[in-house]
Amino acid sequence: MDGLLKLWNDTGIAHFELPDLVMIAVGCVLLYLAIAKKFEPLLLLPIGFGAILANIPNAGFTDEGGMLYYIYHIGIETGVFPLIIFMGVGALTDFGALIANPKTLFLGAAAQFGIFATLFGAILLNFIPGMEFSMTDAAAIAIIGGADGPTAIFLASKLAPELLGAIAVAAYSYMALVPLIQPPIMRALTTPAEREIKMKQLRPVSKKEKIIFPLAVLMMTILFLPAATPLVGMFCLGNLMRESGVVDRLSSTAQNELINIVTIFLGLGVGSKLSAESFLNLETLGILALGAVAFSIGTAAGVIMAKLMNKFSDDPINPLIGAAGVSAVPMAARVANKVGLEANPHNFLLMHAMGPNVAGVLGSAVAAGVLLALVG
Amino acid sequence: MDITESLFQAMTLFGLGMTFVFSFLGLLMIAVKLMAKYIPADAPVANRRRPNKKVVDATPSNSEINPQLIAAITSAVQQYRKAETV
Repeated sequence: MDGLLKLWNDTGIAHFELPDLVMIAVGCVLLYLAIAKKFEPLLLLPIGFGAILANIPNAGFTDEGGMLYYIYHIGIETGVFPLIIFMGVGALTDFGALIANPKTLFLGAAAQFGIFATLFGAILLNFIPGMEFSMTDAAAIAIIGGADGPTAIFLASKLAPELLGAIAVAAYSYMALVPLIQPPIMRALTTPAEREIKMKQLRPVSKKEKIIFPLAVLMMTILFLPAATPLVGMFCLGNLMRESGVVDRLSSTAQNELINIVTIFLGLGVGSKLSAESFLNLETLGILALGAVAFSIGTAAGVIMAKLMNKFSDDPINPLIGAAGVSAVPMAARVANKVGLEANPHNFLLMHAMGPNVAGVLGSAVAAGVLLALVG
Repeated sequence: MDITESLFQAMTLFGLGMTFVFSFLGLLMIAVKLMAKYIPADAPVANRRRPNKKVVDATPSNSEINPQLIAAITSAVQQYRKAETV
């Protein structure tokens, strides 16, 4: 009988509590979104599975000595995983469109408006009983508006590790929802005539320019914002490997095998932070709501900036490409192209939108650096 | 820290942050424009291959293609390149 009782005590059924079950259900919802809806499956699948593993009673995945404990502490708490992912993103990024039309850097800057405006939202939520966000929490939540997963995880791990799970889930969910969130805002802020604007063909960019560009970005970051050098530095390293053409093997590894391996561990590590005590509270709802607000404000600011630039620029600028300034590469650029094609089936904006899109990646990394320097 | 004080801090962050992001990317834009001005463009791939091809192809093709047509294409290409550089 004692043996039977001992065996019963070792089963999961004997130890399940309601919060564990709810969190396992949350993990299953993430798996559903990844598999059935194809919402950022590369991240949401391991995050969802990690959430299930982390909430199994008696399994000890997240206790000291457990696998998820080590994955989190080695890769995410230290900031190593998001930085390696950022190197891979750098190796995947072609800055040609941005170098050919450098004005689009301003669109990438304007879209960061969402990040800084959300700071107010996070602070104002303190008026609601049950929500308590400090300035560091607010900064970590606001970075969701940058629509850049690795940057959001990096900043959250430094400023508000207890909110990391909710912030990462919100960031990746909204990035997957870009095709639903952005078009209504883009249509509301532009006239049909503006959406039809054709842009001048981009000039060819020389190989030398592409090689010097990441070095110039790095140099400027070293001089003006050393706090952003972890993110920008790794990004530039990946990009230099790609453009130099002399380390194709390294570039290929950074773009494929390395980024894939790290993505698995990053997802599991983020999932391990989806524990009942840190996720099942009112603050998570606040984070999800603020993420959507940040994203929408960023999109609107990008479009409005592009409209302004179109008024004062010699070459026409289609305001739709401003929405791509929120990063979310290349989804946001594809959305700009799609909305443009609805207005004029012969107007392909994809390459033009890639400029602000990659500028947005730099912009959100710089914004993260500013937040780290001022709040961290 | 009370909420009013936090809001004031958020306002400072907002102002400083947006100013910094715009200045940083604005400076980068100037750097990219300078790069475009001073770094020579890549030599077109077609030009580099031409000498080898000419040796083999020149004689038969010249006799077949109308010289006026070649002149028209050449001037069109030159005009296009001029327009691109301006």
